[in-house]
Amino acid sequence: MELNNIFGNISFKIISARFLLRFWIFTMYPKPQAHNMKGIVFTEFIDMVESKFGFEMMDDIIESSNLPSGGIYTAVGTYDYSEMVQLVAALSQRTQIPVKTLLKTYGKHLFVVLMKDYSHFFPRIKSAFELFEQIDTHIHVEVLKLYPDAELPKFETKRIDNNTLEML
Amino acid sequence: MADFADGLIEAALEHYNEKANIEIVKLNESGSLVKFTISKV
Repeated sequence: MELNNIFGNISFKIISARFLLRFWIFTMYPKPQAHNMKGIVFTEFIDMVESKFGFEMMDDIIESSNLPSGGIYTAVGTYDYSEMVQLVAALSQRTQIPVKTLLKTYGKHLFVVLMKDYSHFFPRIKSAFELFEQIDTHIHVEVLKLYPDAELPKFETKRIDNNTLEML
Repeated sequence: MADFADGLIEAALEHYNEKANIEIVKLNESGSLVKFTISKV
């Protein structure tokens, strides 16, 4: 009985030590940080592909991409950035349109959607320069109130003169 | 993602009926750091 208790106690200590070691390794050496995107970026990409290339094309690129999400997205969900990279690469391969062109086209598409559905984020803005200057300081602040887990790009703007703006 | 941002910038200019030249300079090898110079014409 006593021996059982002693061995039980020893094995418990060994398991605890292993757990602590693993926990320490996990916390001290975390995996490289994954970059996430809000689901709206994916749902709007799907809308754009379906409207420009058809439903079959969208199904094809989702099936060929072997995505962890299975290609099922909700606008408020959060998904790995790498899935977007896979989708754009697959679309480029099938359409023979360069990734660069697809990304630029998608940027234009998403802007129109954001202006239509989230116009309250852009009150009293009268020019593109005003908009660019307020994205990081005002608009992203409002976005984070709605989506605290959103990972937003950081940038600074600098007016060189009335007609020139730098964004970094 | 510089090309994606380029699309957003172009769309914003179109939205406000403005025309501009957009110069893109990659500041690092990966292209994660980019400078846009937007010059209205």
